[in-house]
Amino acid sequence: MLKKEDIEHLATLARIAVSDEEKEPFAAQIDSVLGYVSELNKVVTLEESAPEAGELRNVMREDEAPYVGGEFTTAIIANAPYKEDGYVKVGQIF
Amino acid sequence: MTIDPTTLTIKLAHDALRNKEYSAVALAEAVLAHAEKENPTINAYVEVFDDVRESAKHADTLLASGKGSDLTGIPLGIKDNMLIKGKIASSGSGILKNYRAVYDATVIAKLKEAGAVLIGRTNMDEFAMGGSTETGIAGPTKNPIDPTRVPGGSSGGSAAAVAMGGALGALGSDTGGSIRQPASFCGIVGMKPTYGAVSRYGLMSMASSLDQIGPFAKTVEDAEMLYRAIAGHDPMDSTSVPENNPLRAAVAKKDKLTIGIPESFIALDGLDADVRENFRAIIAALKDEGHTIKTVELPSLPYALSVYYVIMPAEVSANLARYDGIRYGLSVPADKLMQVYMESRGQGFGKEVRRRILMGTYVLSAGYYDAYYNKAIAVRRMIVREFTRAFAEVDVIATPTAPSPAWKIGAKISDPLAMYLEDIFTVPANIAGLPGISVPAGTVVRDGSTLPVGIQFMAAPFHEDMLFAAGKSVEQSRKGA
Repeated sequence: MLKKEDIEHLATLARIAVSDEEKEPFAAQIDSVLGYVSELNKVVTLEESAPEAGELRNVMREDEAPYVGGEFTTAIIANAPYKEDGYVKVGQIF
Repeated sequence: MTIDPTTLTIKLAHDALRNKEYSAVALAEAVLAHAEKENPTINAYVEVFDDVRESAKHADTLLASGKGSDLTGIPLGIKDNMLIKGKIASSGSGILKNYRAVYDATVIAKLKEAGAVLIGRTNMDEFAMGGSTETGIAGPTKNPIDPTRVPGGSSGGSAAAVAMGGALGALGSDTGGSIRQPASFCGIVGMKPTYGAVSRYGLMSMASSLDQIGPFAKTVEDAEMLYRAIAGHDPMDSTSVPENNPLRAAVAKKDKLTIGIPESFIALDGLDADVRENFRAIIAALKDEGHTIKTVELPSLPYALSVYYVIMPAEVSANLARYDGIRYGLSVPADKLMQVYMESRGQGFGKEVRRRILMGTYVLSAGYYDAYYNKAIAVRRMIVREFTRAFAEVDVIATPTAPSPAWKIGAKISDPLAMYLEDIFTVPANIAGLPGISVPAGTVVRDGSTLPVGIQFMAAPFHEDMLFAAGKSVEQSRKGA
């Protein structure tokens, strides 16, 4: 059974503030889904099979500039919550 | 000539435009007028664009110069999680309420190139997580057939826009049934293409190993026209399958199909009795049309839902890490950077999104990774292998699209597991990367309300033609019904 403290731990890992009154309902709801999906433990699975024909792997593009420099700058900066002189403004990290 | 957008198909509109029976502007005006009349009740659109007439004029220019294509002048709705340059794209979330797209998604660029007329952004469950279109910031969308009921989801706005006559077709995204289930609930056609058939560049990622963009329309023929307009390889999406890939090998078209029925899956509890009866009746009708019906064994299929509800939240928790309150979207000021993250995400995301991120974080965390995530990946491979074996014997596999018709607004919103169980028939196609289509297949009655239900067909990868053939056969058998 998930406890309130488990939700707090997951919330910190996921960087999501969860209010106190939500913790218990979340624990119960996530528990019920985990209970359902734990039926997978009954399934006997085979060894990992080889890649199938047609599967896409290691898709690369040419190592060249895909855009004209500055093409999207104004529009991207316009979406930033805080900005200054064409830069995204962020708070102090440490 | 009067234009009735509630019955007009893309094919008929295309013919009328080409024969100059009316202009693209006149068609757009008729659709806009209808959308403006219905939307206050149905809430299918979160925004009707202010440049619809200009796009229609442009379409008329294309038509006049002979440069028109199938979709020139066709009014379409677009789910609010696809980028249209310069327009807001919110994904139904408070965290992106004012986000303005910097570029066109590939599907949008293709539609613009074709001269399609984009009517507006359609409502959805927040970040496409849900089966009822109740969780977006714009509030619930109502089912045009019975406005006390949900339209299905998560692309419920796109389905409702088409069903109410507010567009002739629409695009949605389907991660676990989000196109096919609302199509079933609203009595229209909805199709999820093969994984990698349609570019997802410019679609907001939910669960990247499952997401696909696809069409809604009134008929299978219309859905096919839309699909052909948006399909194709795109170097901007590394999961998009190149044209020369062996997966895309051409399949011979046939009139008479072998239709597989996963009997033990259909027999599961939880499928409404009248929905099952209705499915049986359609299969019988298809047999009368000359198709061969065959039982197929897919023993791991009942586990697809559990596989889905491990893999999907895991991928969601990774994909939605990008919404951090720094580069775009809601940012809640705080002294410490950690608090900016915690509060911006805590306040910006709704309940269901937070629940799924927490669940995904759990199944990916140390100590549980093998038991949940790796186990789900192994079962996923088993399901893929069983489908491969089945498609050696049959052309398509048929199931009901959803275990029940549209439910009442609010009925399942506080019980996530009950809502998740509604995806049982649609998730297998996403788990295995297969194309799937839902086609109207009759009605059932709930509380005096006659509600549509769909039949779903799945096919081998890139065998979309088989789905269209099966779907058209259903339409044929129901003519006059």
